[in-house]
Amino acid sequence: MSMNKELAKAFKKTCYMANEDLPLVVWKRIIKQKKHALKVKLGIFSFLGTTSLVGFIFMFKTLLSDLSQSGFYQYLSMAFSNKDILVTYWKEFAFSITESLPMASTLYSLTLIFIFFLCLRYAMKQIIKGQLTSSFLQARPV
Amino acid sequence: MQVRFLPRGQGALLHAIIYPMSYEKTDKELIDSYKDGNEDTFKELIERYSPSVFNLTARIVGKEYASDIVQDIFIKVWKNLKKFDVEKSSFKTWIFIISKNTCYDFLKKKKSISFSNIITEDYIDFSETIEDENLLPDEEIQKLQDSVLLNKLLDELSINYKTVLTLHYQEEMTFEEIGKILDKPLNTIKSWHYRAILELRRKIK
Repeated sequence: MSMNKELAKAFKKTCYMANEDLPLVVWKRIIKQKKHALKVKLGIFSFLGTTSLVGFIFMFKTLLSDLSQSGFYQYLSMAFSNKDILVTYWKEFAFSITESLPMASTLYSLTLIFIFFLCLRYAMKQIIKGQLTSSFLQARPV
Repeated sequence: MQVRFLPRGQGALLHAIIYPMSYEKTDKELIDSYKDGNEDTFKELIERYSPSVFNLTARIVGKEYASDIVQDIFIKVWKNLKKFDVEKSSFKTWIFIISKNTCYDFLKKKKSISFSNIITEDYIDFSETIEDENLLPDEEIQKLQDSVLLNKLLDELSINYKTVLTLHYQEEMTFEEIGKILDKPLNTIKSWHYRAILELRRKIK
């Protein structure tokens, strides 16, 4: 028999053997890391979501006061009270109502509510993933 | 290996007779399945590769540290598996590259890699034919069948030498594959293999 084959035979006998539970230990550590990463992400998204919601509440109050100051409500009530004028002068009406909109506060409010819903979505995703990860290890041991 | 799924119903038995032992999925299929969201398949990869990774790790860093390092290796694999392109390289080579790097990092942290352990550019010109087959006489090969002696001799070799021998003889990898793992040219690997065998021969005597 050739040297290579004989050496391969000898080397195969000297393999270091791992504990039988090593794959399970590795898997459990991965699950632990996964859970930790999920917790960190959940924390970040919860914080961002709460901050954006609080910011939105303040910004919404500002938006409401801006709307009342700009005469937006008067234009809006006119649309419901006198429909004939609205039909005849709809271009002018649209221009006036757009002009009366407080752009900055509207934009900030929409941005904040968008961030809030985005964070809510990602936070829910992390919670679902976390539940799946927990059930994964319990239901299917290696 | 080709994967054939077991058909349900009456054909299953016939199928199992025609294609015995052919239900094991390939690495590529497991990785593709993992990337498609079936994270359970990573467990199969752990089960498949943990013995080989443990053996190489134990050989390089010592058995007492091997379990912890194997865990670190698989965590690195898990973190990077989605970026791994199974079409470009073999998973086995990739996991051994990660294993080698993790072991070397560990040894560097421990400051136990000495200069003599890392041999860099010395290699023999393999354009000249070297008769590998005659490097060890039969009598010495027989002595190496004693696993306690072989283990002792391997532990005395430098890291590069024992890595080459372990990958070549235990993991049945080619010199080209070992070259990829150790990031060295083919001739360097052949040279290390040659010198490792000579070293073993010298130590037996």
